[in-house]
This record gives sequence, C-alpha cells and structure tokens, in this order.
Amino acid sequence: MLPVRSSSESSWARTRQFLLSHGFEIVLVLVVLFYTVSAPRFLTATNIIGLLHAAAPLMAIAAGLTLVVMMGKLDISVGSTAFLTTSVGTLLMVRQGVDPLLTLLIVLALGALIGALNGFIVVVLRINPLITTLGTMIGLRGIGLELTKSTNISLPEDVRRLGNATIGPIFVDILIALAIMAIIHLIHRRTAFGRQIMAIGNDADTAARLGVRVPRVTFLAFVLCGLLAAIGGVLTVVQVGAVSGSIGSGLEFTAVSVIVIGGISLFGGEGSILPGALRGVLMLEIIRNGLNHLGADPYAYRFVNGAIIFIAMYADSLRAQVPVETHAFESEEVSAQPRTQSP
Amino acid sequence: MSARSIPADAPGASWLRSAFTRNRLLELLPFILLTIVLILLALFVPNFFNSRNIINIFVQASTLGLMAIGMTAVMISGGIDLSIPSVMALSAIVGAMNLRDGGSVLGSSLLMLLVGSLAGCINGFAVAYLKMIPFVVTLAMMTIATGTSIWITNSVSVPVVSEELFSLVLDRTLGIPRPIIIMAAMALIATLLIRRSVFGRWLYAVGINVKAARVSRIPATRVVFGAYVVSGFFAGLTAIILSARLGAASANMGNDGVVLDIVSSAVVGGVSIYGGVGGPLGAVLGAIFITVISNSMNMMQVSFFTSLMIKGVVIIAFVFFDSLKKR
Repeated sequence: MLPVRSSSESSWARTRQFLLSHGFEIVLVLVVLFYTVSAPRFLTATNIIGLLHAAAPLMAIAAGLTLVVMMGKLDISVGSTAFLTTSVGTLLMVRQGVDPLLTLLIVLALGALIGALNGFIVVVLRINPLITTLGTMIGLRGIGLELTKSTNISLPEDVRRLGNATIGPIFVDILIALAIMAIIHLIHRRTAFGRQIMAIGNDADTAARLGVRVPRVTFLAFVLCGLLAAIGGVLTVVQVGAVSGSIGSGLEFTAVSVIVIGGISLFGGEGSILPGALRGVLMLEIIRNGLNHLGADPYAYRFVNGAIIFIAMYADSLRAQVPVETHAFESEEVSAQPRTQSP
Repeated sequence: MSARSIPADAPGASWLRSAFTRNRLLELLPFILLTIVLILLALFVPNFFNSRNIINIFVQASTLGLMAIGMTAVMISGGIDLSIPSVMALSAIVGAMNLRDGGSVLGSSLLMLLVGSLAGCINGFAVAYLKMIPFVVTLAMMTIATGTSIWITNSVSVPVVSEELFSLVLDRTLGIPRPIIIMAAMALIATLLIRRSVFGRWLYAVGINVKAARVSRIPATRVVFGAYVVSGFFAGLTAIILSARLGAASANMGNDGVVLDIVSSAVVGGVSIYGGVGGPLGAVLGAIFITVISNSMNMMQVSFFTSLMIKGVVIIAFVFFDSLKKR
C-alpha cells in the first residue's frame, strides 16, 4: 500500500493517488457509459446474461490461477490443461461410450493430476514455475493434438444440450462458475491453506520459518489450479459443443491479464478472488462484448487484449511501487524447510 | 570435510575426481547428449549424414540461432523475452508489405530491423524504466505483436517475391549458404562484444546481481534496456532471412512452438535463466542441437505434435540440470 501522504504534498500527488486506487472503478464506469451510448443493445438484460455466460469458463480458470499467482508464481499451462483434459473426456464419450458423469470425474481427476505434475516439477525438482509451465503448456497441447489428430470432435447430443441449460432466464454455467468463485473465495479467506498462500506470496522464507509447509501448500495450489482449469475446459467445451485444437489456446494469457486487471499483484501476497478476480473477468468480457456490439474488426481483438494487459500491468507496477526488479526469475527456494528449534 | 576425504597418497584419484566432478559432468552434458543422439541417428536414420541434409539443418538452425543470440542478451541480464518470434513475424509482415507496395529491398530490410528494434525498445523501456516484470511485459508484447500481425494481414500470408532479396540473402558464398555465414558472423561478433566490450561486462554484472551492479555505478537501467533492444534487433534480422527463405510472411511464423525452441536453445547452450551465465556461442550450439532433434524426428516420421511433447520434456530436463549446477 502507498504510504499516507502528508498534507504538504501537491494536490497532483493526491489526485494521482486517487486515480491509482480508484482507477478500476473509473475506467469501468467510462467503458460502460461509452458502450451504452454507442451501442443501444449493450445494456440489456439479455446481453448481460449472454456476457456472463461467455465469461463463465474464464471465471473458473481465473479462480484457480489466482491462488497460484497469490503465491507469487504463475501457471501458464491452464489453457493446455483445459484442452487436453476435455479432449480425453470427449474421446472417452464418443469413442468408448463412457457414461458422461463418469467422464466428468475422469476429466476432473486428470486436471488435478496435471496440476500435480506441475506441482511436482516445481516443488521436488525445484524448477522455476514459469519454465515448468511453459514446458507443460507446449507438451500437453502436443499430446492433446496427437490424440484428437487436431480435428473437431462433437460432443454427444444429450451432453451438448447442457451448454444452453437454464434456470429461469439464467444459464446454469453462470451459477456453477459463480459458485466456484465463492468456494475458492472462502478457501482463500477462511482456511489456513488460504492464509498460508498469502504468507508464501509475501515472503516464502519467512513463511517457512513461521512453520508454513511451503512445499505442500505450493503443491496443493498447483493441483487446485489444474482441477479448476479442467472445470473451465468442461464449461467451454459444453458451450461450444465440440472439442477442437483451438480450445484453450491463448487462454493462459487471457487469464493472466484478467488477474492483473483484477488488482492481484504478480509479485504475490495481494489481491482477492471476490471481488478482485471476478471484476477482472467482467472488465475483460465487457470490453470484448462491447467491441463486438460496435462491429469492430474481430482480428483487432487480440491486439486490444494485449494493450489492456499492458495498461493494467503498468498500473499494477505503479500501485505496488516495487523496488528495482529486473530479474524475471528469483531463484527462491521453493522447498525451504521450516527451521527446527535448537535443543 | 572434503579435503580429508581425498586420500593424500593417491594423486591420481584426486585428478580423476576433479575431472569428473558433478558440475564438470553437467557442463559437458549437452555435448554428451548430442554425441549420443548423433550416433543413434547414424545408426537408425540412413539419410541423416548426407551433405544436403547437414546443410539443410544448418540453414534451418540459422534463424533459430539468430533469435537465440538475442534471447541470450536478455537472459544474461536476468530477464526473458517471449515476444521474439511474434515480433519477428510482425517485422517480416511489415517489410513484406512494404516490398509488395513497391518498396526497395534495402528499404524493406531496414524496415524489418527498425520494427524489431522498436518493439525491443518498448519491452526494454517497460522492464528497465517502468520496472515491470519481464515475463509479463514480453507476454503482453507477444499478444500485441501477434494481434497486430493478424489484424493488418487479416490472417492471410503476404507473399515475398523479389529475386533481388532472394539472391542477396540465400545465395552461396564459397559454397556455404549465406544464412549460415550470417549466423556464424553474428555469433562471433556477439561473443566478442559480450566478452570484450564494457557493455558485455556490465550485462553480466547486472545479471549476477543488479543491486551490486548499481552500487558499482553501472548504469543498470540502460544496460537492461539495451539488452531488449538487441533482442528486438535480432528478431528483425531473423525476419529478413526467414521471409526470404519462406517466400512469404505470416503471423504464423512466430507461433508458440518457436518460443519454446528459442528458450530451449539458450538453456541447452548453457545460458542460465537466472541470469549472468552463458554466451551467444553456446546458444547457437543449442539452436543446432534443437534443430537436429526436430529434423531427426521429422525424418523418423514422428508427428509434429509428438515432437512438441518431446521438446517440452527436453527443456524441463535441461533447466533441471541447470538448477543442479547451481547448488
């Protein structure tokens, strides 16, 4: 947090501080106002429900990734995890005729397993998380493409119908995604595990000395992240109705940008799931949805995405006012053991 | 402890020990692996050691090697540049469009170098002056560059048709294709610069310990900025060669697989992801190693997707060896 400014400082400094601490709200209001004025169908109930529907998979994935980011680490394999797990699931249902419910369990277990693999490489082999997940991101996508022969495979009809299931006017997957965010929020705020994640994110060494089992918590966070990536993948594939080679591609970057926009510091130890990660998802989805309504060139979306990440990160670095940091990777000891008391 | 464990009456044993310490072994590992791979290839892939295929491998490795040299500069400073391939693609597209619209070969080539260097300047400015995290800055740059490429081309590849450019870049000098010569020359120049120039020494100092470097009055901010500009410049240089070789420029030139190849090349070549260790020559050797793997898997008819998988494993394994070295 910024230190409290003395009254002798110029009004510009105070304005700047106000802008930095309320930047998100200001931008959100401006964006919504702009779209409402320029696209008449933007601020309608149907569009807002559709917007949430489209955002549901990202909510699940962002919730899991947030846990890892709060630890000061990153998992960029989430998109490939979503793709591989759902490819396996789809193939099981279509080729082997496995029961959808059992398939769901297998898919979720596979997601957790991939998370465990990442966690194992990071914790036991002590390899930097970014390189680890860069490797698994490419490797897992390779496996998935090999399995599906990079073709589109449709889901069985009765499973596909679930994608548009509604309760009243609201899509079921919105409720599922919000419930997941609420659960992760509770885990983060109300459990020892959640507090230990924040402790590691603030300072892994200190956390270890205070008795936090850093390796175990790190491992668990990666497992949860993999599990939620699989859930996000399921929500995506059920919405789309088929699995294809592009499922989850670029998703890791979208998820990271969502997290940064949501005010969760990439240095770790700061931020929240609710409202943090959720508002990040909403912001990105609102911008995308609005561009759509304005009839913007679809090829421009990716550019806009990149620009948004850049701006959000710049604001993040201003807010955090971090000390000089040119190193991409700190060689921190992930598996530092808690210091035993001397006899 | 260790002094006592070496028997005083066995000088031969201590010589043996120092020759086969774990670190020495780990340093030699890439070469040992390369030798094993080459022997296996000689045995199982009949056409591998034919002169055409060897030259082909070196030509393929030249573009990867050039990008790996750029990556080395950034990695020695302690950062990482994920945007190299996408910036390379963007530079190639801008240059190819200029060429298509009647621009000269020289102008288009300079334009490619300019676009690359400019993207490097933005990365460097964000990392060095705005103190943003290199990984995420270059991730954003990667998205922006790919986005721009897709946007301005509508995802269609731009043909590069210019005999002048082809002969300039692809002709042979003394029987060796020019891309190989360019790569070798650049590796040499980069090695000299990094070993003999003040900038090179500063770069290592910043990579080893940025705070100590600052205390010793090294302009760390400018050095880090410079490293990213170098990396962008090499992306532009690669764009010239690759667009001539492919006869086209498209957003797909810089897909995710290329990033992995560059990082793998550098890591296999002994450049540490923690900064301060390694050099351009190693990175180029690493690029050749990676190309040999891709090429041989291709010749053994392993699918592209499986090769992605194997490369993912290779990079994690090498970073693991790297971390063993540190301990």
